[in-house]
Amino acid sequence: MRDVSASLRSPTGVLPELRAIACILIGLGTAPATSGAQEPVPPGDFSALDIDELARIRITSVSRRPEPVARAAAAVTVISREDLRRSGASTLPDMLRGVPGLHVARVGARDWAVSARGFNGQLSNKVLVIVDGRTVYSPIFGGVFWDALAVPLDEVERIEVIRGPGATLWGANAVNGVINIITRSAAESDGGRIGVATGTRTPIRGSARYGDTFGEGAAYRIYAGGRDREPTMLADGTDAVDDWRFGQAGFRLDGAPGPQRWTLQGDIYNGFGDTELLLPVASAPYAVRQLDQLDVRGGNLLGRWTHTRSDASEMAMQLTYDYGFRRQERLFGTLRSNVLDFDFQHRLAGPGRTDLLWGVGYRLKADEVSGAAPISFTPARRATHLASAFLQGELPIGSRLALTAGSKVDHNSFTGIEIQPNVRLLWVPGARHSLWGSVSRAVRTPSRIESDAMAIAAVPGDVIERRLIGSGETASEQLVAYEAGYRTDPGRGVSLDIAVFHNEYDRLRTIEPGTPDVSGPRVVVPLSYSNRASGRTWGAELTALLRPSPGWRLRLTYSHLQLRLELEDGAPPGTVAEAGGGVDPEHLASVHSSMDLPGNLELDVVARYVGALEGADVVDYATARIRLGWRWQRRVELSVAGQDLFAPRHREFPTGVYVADDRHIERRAYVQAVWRF
Amino acid sequence: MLAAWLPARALHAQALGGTLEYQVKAAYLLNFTRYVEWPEQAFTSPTAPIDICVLGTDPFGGALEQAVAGRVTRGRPLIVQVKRSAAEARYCPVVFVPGALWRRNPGLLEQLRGHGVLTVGESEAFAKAGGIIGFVIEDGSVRFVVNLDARDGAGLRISSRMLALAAHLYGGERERP
Repeated sequence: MRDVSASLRSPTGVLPELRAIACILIGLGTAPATSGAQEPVPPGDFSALDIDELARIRITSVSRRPEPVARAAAAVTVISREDLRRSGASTLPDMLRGVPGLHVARVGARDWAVSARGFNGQLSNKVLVIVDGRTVYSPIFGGVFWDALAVPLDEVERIEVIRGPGATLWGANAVNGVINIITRSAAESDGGRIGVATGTRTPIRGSARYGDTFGEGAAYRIYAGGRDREPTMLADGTDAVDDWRFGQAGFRLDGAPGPQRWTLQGDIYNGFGDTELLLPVASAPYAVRQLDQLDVRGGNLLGRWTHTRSDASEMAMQLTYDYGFRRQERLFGTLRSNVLDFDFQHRLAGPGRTDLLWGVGYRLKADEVSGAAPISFTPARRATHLASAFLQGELPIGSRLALTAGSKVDHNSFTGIEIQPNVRLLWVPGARHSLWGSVSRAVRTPSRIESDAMAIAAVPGDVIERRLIGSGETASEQLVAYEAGYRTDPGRGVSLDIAVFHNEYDRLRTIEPGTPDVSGPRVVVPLSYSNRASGRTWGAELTALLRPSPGWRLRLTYSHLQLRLELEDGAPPGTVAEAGGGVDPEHLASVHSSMDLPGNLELDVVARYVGALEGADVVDYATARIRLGWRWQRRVELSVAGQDLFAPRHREFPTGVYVADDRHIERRAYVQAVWRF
Repeated sequence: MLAAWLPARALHAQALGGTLEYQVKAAYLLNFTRYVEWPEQAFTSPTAPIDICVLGTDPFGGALEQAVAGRVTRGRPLIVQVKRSAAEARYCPVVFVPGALWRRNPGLLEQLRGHGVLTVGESEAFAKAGGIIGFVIEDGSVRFVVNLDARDGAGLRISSRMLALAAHLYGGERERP
């Protein structure tokens, strides 16, 4: 073969016929002998070559072919770094707005409610959030404290949002969706970056980063950032009590010696702010307002090692540790949590043309809640664990079909063994179209709050004291999800993504009253958690991407959701489903217009509409962000942005039972300067 | 028996797969998609395909389709299109301008300039005139030259590895590797 190659390089010129014959000989050498007469020149003979090889015409191995997201058999949305930078969003939840199927609601200056395909709440627990492979998860309630999520926003490479169950790969609590936040490798954060912004309600927000290479192929970055957020407003336009100051710092190291890659990264954070609570008292008026302070601090550390043994085999091992501290003296006292998580996964070529992925994981969660105030835990200190294993295989059927099937098996401290399988089929009739469908089962396992908590409700003027007592006996919530989708990219600057779903839930968490205790001066009604609701959700999500002209992009999204819950026969009167009580909008729509203007100017408009939350008297609203940016040689970037522009203030979500007043989000503006060096 | 069908297959290859020169050029085009970074604005979405558009008459004779069939660059499938005019091709991340067409109509480069379009032609003169990449034949091998100013004008980034393998670089004095 080498001789043939050499003859091709001969400067004397070869007859075309001889060239063609030589080409066939090369082809015969690399393609299977069964390739048949229809394909006279086996594809891949030259296309597998790199530039320098092409210049010399020499043959080596075929390059690795990663799975394109466009061909994933799931409803996936990817927000790119550029979209994030240009969107004018200044917090992480804000960056998630405009992802179809996600309902992102701002509750106050620091509080958010985020859910996918329904069941929203401040303690929403059916969406899994992952930062650089680390599960962000409070063992107390199984969800995310958004106020304590320390992600270096300027270093985010992309955010991948998967609507629908991701339980087979990610495990319990990836019931309705997975939000996967991926920051850049340290090698890509080369040099310095300083960004400072000031504006209404956020007098100062800034961050600084520096990165460089060291040693052989290794790189580091360090960063620090902070913000001072003034309180949101009450209905009458005066200040609420929910200001927030938050600072964070962190580092990341990346290295790639030979076929191995390793990452070590960590963050620390600290936040504090005032808060006004509504707390229960034993005598009339049974609930009083009190000022309190919220303190959060914590940190995390992640180490990951990846070894690529060949094109077909890659293994990765990861260890993460997360510490969280949260104090609100008058509400729950002090909460400390520790989560240690070990993960191993291995991708390899299976029999036939299958691609196999398997892994094992172990998570140890230990927490302690100390304090006697209206929310308390018995036992105060508890360690729980989650052990898991999964196997998933992808089998191509012909060249246009791919079947993916797999399952995860978990063992957790609350409900024992849980099995979460899924099967997915992808059909790619042509490069510009793909169709997919899937059936999957997912569970949400209980957490400390429903097992061990005791909470006394605060209702002004209510002579009955309601006590919610964790039963220790709740079961997992279960979902069987049926999904389908279609993607097309017909060219000419248009692409379309449609996903439809029908979710069947069973054993949804309910709260039911027990026998009233009338022995004391005040009637006490005990409430307990149970799993007596079932439900259905169905809906559709649509994304259209348009490029009306070369410097102008439009991203349009629309989401529709229907949610129906039913209590099982025999549920005691007064039983209510804990989530899904009318705080999920039927309609969500957004438009992001991104324009390049002459003179290095960028103009972005993000407008969105959120339907009414009937169960919480939150009216529907439309609002917009506008950002005008100017860049000079990638070094300097100046921008001015307006946020929530359509009304002086609007309300997005009900506050919790222990917060006295509804909060309203103000119209705001900021200016920002970024300098790279 | 082998000898009996060899010439037939050779002819077949000529008809379907184009000449060796174009098979190599097709493989180069595939490689360029891996070494060139487009501005985000060049695509509708992070997963949109990379269209490789051939302007006018396709000289590849199927070799380009074969070279990119099933290939994916950074999550984007590759697709070959034949466009009749430069105006139609201005949405394409890669535009191949056959040598004969450019010699007849050098003005078409103007219509492709500055839109995140990687223009690839078939001569040194093409690159000198403001095209980004020009294929050249050196010592019987296909090589290429790069116009760095044209690259900057289109807002593209080209990896230093690819630039190091170019037969010649024009413009952008400071950045030569």
